[in-house]
Amino acid sequence: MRLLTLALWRRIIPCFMLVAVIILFWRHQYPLPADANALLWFSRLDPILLLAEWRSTGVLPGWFWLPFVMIAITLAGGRLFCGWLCPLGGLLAQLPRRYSRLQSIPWLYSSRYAWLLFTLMLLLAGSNWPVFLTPFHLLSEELFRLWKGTVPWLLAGILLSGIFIYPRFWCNHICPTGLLLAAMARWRSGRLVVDSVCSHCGVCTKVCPTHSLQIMAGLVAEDCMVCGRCWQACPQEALTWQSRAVKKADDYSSAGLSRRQFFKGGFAVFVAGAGWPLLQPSSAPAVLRPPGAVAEEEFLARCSRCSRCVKVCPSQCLIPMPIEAGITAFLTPSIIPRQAKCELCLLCQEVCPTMAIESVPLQQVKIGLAILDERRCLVWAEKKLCLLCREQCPVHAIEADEYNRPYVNNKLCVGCGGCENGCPLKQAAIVVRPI
Amino acid sequence: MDRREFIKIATYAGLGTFLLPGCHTARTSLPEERNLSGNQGNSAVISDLIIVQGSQPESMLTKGFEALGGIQNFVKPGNTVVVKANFSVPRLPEEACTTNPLLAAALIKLCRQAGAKEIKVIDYPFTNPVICLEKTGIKKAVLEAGGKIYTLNNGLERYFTPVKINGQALLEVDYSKDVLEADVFFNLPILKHHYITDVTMGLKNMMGLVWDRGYFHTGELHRCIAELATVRRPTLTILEAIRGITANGPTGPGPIQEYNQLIFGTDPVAVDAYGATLFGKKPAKLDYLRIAAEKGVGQLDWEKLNVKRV
Repeated sequence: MRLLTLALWRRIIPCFMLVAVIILFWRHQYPLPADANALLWFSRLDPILLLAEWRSTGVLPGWFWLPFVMIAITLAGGRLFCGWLCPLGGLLAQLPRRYSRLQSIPWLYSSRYAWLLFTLMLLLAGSNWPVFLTPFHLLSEELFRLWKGTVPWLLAGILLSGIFIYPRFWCNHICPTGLLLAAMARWRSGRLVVDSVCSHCGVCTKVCPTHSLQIMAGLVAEDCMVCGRCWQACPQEALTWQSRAVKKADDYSSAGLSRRQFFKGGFAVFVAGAGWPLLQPSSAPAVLRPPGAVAEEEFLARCSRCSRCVKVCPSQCLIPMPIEAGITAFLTPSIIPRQAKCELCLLCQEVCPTMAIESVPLQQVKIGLAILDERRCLVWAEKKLCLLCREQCPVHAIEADEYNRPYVNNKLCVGCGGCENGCPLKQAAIVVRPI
Repeated sequence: MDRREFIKIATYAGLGTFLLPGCHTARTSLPEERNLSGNQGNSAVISDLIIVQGSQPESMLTKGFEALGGIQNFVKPGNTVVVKANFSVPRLPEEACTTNPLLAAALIKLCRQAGAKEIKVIDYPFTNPVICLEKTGIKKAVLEAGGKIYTLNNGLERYFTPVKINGQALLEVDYSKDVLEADVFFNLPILKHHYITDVTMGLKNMMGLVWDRGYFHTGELHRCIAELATVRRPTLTILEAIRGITANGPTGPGPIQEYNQLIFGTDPVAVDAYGATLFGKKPAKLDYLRIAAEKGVGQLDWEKLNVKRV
């Protein structure tokens, strides 16, 4: 009976996390309900996000204890986060365990910490692509694709790798959070250990979704997500939960860094350091960013492309940039006023998990600056009674002279694009330019 | 009634006339023709202008309708009522830029008491509709009062139908289907400042019933507004002049003036003309009012009407 309950919880809790994240993401809409904030707090469980935030702001945020709790849990009992709390893991945990030759490619397995080092260096060098690969951010972006009705390629790829290689392939080889926690789990104190009564039947390796049972060695590797499947499946009841102090001798995983690993790691750092500047555009593209966005270069470094701001935007004025804009700007939110203007609801500031869009009051928002082309403006050039730009301006930055001709008060203009959006000319006579 | 149903009935009715001797010369009535003449069912009260003093929207509305002989003079049981309110900017009710939610709710309650089948409150906000519906408080009020509320932003096909005007400035506009098909059309504007036309009231409010407003601004705005008023005359204009902004309109926020009046009239021009004087403008100085009066939409000299102050 106890075993049955464990099997049940193993499904319920990760599924609950997945459904909760989907619902919370769905609830990212105007007016933003208070509980939608929970997604932000879930994301903050991730130590990678803390690292990213520390890199971009230089100070530890008030919620720094949350990832440290995760780290403490990992040091105590291994990758409990990956196995029980990760929403993407919750999805992958539902996949059946199949046998595949691909699952035991030795070079792939041994180079994963080099990959982790590479992503961490990339992060510190000023790119939030590694954060994009972490579960809460990646899932948000892919959910946005689904919501928009386009194909979530990455999610499909992760699911396929889970089906054809082994369920937690992504978690063990690509996910920076998973790899970071795995690296820490090497020093975990509580763990499942294979006892000497093991008959080497291999049932446990067949049910393990993480491919972490090195059955020939009779050990459970650091990838163990404590799901308990092996424990339940073992006919000999050879698996027991033990603390590090008891079974120190069996600890093979915390062996020192091999020379090969060291070189691999060094190579990853070198590639990250040398390659990243090459990917940077020579000049920042001239696009309008969400209200409160930090300066363009820093924005590109901080934005994790989680698409939450794009989802929450009530006027859908935030548009993820296409791949043609370059890899550094790909998927970052931008505003094209002619398509939709910013309503200055500032919800994007509330949902941004990476400080790419900072919380600034409306008075300090400066998305861009409106520039009026008087030669084409209907009022200036044709003496028409237009002034639509003035009607549209939410901050009264468009003023009129004694002949009722409009001009822009640069001090008041926030660059929301209302004027450009409202201009009745085919090619707007007033255009918002990034500062 | 959807379009298909309408065409079906119109065709049968048209063919049916051939069966009646002497009737085959009569034309089947098209919606634009029916509506050009407006709702003529209440000619008895056409020259009245009711001005209600007060600050409580609900009681003012009730008083106004009492003075007009009761809401049943306008709304018959089973009627469809369309209310063109103003919630086109995302302002709070207390900022006095949009229709007071209490007033809209009170009007819906009265219509329901009179037995209206369906009451729709509509506008075509020029800022984000979701934010407008929420922030102005009108959505909550209308839904609680038992009415329907929506914005006309999402789709030409759904909410608009072409109407021929053949005016000097407007030849044809895509006009609100809801208004054309309604049995009763209440225009519920708020009196407030407007950068372009100085003041916005009933006639200007009806610009929110048109798909392409941008065109109005590229041409002769005043003439466009006036010609648009010939499409469908509101059954009743209820001009909310309780509180309104006197500058920074239509978007606001701006300085608020308390007029504490609610003006009722079946003559849309007279109501606006009175509102203009309240705002401190000479009605004849407002081009769109002058042109509308010239076109016979209504009476510019409101004092000629049977004015009742309550």
